[in-house]
Amino acid sequence: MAHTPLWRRYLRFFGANVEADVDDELRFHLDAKVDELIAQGWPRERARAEARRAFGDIAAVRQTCQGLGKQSEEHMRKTEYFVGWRQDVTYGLRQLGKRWATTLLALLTLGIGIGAVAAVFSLLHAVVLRPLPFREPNQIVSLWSTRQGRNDVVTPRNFDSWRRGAHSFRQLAALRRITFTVSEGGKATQIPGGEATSDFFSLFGVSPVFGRTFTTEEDRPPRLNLVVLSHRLWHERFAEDQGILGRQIRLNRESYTVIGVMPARFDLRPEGEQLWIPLALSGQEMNWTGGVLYVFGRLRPNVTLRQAQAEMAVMARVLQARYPDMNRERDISVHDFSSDLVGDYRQQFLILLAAVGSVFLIACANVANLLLARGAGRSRELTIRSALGATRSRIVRQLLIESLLLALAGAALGLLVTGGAIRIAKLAGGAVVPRLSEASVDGSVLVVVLALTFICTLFCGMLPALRAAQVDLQSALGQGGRSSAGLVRDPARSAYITAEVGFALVLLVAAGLLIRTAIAAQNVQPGFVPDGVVTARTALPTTVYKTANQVVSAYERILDGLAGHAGVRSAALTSKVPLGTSGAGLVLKPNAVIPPLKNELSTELQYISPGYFTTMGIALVRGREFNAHDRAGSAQVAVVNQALARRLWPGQDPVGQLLRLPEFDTGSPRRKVIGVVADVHGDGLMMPPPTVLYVPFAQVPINPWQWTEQSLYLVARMQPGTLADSELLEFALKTVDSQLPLGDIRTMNQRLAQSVSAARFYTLLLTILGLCGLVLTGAGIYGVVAYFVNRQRAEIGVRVALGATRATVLMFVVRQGMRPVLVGIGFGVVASFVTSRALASQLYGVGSMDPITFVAVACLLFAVAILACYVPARQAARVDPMVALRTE
Amino acid sequence: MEQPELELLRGTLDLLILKTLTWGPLHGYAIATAIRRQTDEALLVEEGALYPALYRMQAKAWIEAEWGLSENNRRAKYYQLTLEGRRHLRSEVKTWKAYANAVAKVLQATQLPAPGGS
Repeated sequence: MAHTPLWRRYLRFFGANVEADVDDELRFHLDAKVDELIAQGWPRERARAEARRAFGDIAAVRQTCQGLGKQSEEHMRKTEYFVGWRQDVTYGLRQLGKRWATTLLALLTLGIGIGAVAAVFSLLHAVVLRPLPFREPNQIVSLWSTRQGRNDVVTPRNFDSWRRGAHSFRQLAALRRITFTVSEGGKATQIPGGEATSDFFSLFGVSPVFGRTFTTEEDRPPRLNLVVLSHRLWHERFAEDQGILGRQIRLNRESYTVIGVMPARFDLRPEGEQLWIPLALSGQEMNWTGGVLYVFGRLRPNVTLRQAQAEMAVMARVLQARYPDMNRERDISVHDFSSDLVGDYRQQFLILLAAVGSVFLIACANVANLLLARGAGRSRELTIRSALGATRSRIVRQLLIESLLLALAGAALGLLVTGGAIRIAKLAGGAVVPRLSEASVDGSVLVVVLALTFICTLFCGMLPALRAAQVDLQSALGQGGRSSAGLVRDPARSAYITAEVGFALVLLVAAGLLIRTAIAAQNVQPGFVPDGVVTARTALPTTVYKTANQVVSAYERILDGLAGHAGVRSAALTSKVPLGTSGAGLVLKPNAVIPPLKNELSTELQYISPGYFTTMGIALVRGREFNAHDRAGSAQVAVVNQALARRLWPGQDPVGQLLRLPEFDTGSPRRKVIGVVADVHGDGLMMPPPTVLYVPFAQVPINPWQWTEQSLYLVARMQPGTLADSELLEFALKTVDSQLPLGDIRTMNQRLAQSVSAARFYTLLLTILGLCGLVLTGAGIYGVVAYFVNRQRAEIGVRVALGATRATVLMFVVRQGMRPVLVGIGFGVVASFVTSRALASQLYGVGSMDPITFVAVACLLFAVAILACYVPARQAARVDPMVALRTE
Repeated sequence: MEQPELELLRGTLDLLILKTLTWGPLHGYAIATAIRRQTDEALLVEEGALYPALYRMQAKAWIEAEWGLSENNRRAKYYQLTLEGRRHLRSEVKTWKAYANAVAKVLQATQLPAPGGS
């Protein structure tokens, strides 16, 4: 009888051993057969042979069985594994349900955290990260004529020269943004549109959904009355009429034939052009010295932006020599089109994402602390499990599954939060921010939510899980689940607090700087008196009002009608209102040149009627305002604002000085400065006031009128107690010409509110996030210290029994809690020095290193932390030593 | 040995093993012996063929195995029917009987059945 050698049993020591099992089983069979045959009287040797014969091919059977055995072993292992997972999930759910209060708290924290991060990401994705819906969008560039670092629109002559001379571009197209008066379907309204070159559409690689765009022939004078509609206009004005092609529509009092409709994806900006007609520059327009064109280019396949920029720099020098009048000091800059479109928002969204991410991490740290505390409370349960044979990895897995379940539930809640937040964001900014309206919970957002779920599972769950799995059987069971490890001896908790405080400080510094900015903006004097002033824009069609004389006399009649109206205290006309947001019209920035050609600078130019300064409430500093005698035939005059006076004639009296406007005035006669007015924050309260040159509207030549579509703003200051309404303005227009449009109707107070609304919203958002971070951090500190006090009850009891006073106990606890807080404040201040620099471009009236903000925020955090420590510390100080020791 | 050898129909060995196991847990050798005795040594050609069948049925969860001690105190692997195995056996027996009946009818027929009859 061959016995199983003893060592074979050890083969089974590490789980099932299929090969040994098969061998054992077959050997048993043969041995049993041999025994039986011997019992029947066979000799041993023959019995062995007979047993083997009766069995058949032993080697083959063994091989088959081992193969089958291994397969089923594998299968079983897998099944067992999955059963284990299912057990863990069920157990985890039960555990979470059992401690529902903590669970709910953690769930809400995570849900809001994940949701907020995902929402901001989805906005960032929709507006900035998503590629533009064009063919090879990174080849598309925009080109600007720059002077003194400021991007200006391009003159027709320059555009033509670029198109002929530049080799870096496969195509160069131009667009002139103008406002159309559409009288289709009743009331005349103004709609932004453009005159485009024939390759404007093909440059973007977008073809119309219906019909066609302009041909090269149609892009030559005389301009044909053809129009391509945007999808938005087609949808809003024409109810998606399928038979729109060939239809005649009234634009600027002329009949235009619709030849095409662009797809919805070509509507990039909420306030973008809604219809296009051929640009077809005429010879006269070619000689315009003012810039009117937005120029776009598509780079050749292996030309980089830098190479294109280098070529255009050379081109700029050539053009300076060839057309010195329009190109004095002018460079050409080439920009990535997408960054021109959404560049401002990239930084804002990234800062917002960073802020939301910080709040998320603070929230995660709180949840981690919650789980740590819970893990410590559960040490008894886990000890029993491991005593019953659960491996350490199994316990870690079990706890991680619990965190994962928590995080998944949080993610589900987060998706709801995301959906809601996106909807709010669309309501708030959909009308201003390009592409925001397309934000949604899509695949990329889901990926981010999943990633956040796993980050937060690991961040929140890993440490508590590892910690919990480390329990020492003996001591934990012996102590009834209490450990005496204090806060000081627990670097993990301290680290969480330090991190939370650090993040909160950075957030609060950012919010603080923005709040200081908002306060500074609040105190800015706009330079005009907004109350009771209503403004609206109109335009005289070039087809009817053909000479400067006709334009001026029509506007004078309109002004007379408006001023004579009861309830109007004073009225005026201007080419630009302060804080105007409308993209229509043109900001003229000609060179003001003082003879001899020494001092020269580009400035904003505004043409106004007499009485504008009085009506707008802009203070006259020196000299006089324009009056009715400043007309086309009389002496050429101008008024400067203080900023321009300082730049052109520092330390001198501006009144009586002479200057020329070579790009503006035909023949560039000298204009005499007759007055100085106060500065107006025309580009926004947080922007420095621009230099402005005012000329009387009666002295504007016909060309500049045409550059600005012969449009002016009507300004009326109402009598106190009279309501400003648009009907009044409309009435004044209608008495002169019943078909004139009226657009951009707003009171100056509305403009003022609107100009700060975006910045204010942004500040509000960051402030809310900062406060969230502060509250969460306070709660986190409180939680940890309270937990510490709870755990240390016995030690505190002993201290009190040994004669410690209430004050010493208080100090003891507070010191424990404040140590990581102070470290966190230190880290946070250092980090803020770096991060607040990213904010610099959005600050006004406060430096990014503003010491007041830093100190105030640090003090605020310190105070909150002290409070968060003090509340549990007071409880600790009330510990009755007898009770504390007895309950131990 | 010159006994008449019958080709084991596919699945028949499984059926025999399952039936044998209805008497209680048995190790491989005992199953082989039981089948040999009950079929008068007519069916089981090679005892070794038993084991792959056992392993296969174990994978299908018709039987389960456990190590135990044999009558003479040696480690032996005992097989036992599972609920699933019992159910399978019942349905197989039914099929087998129907099959055998059908074959027997044909073999015992005395004349060609009349056309049109069912």
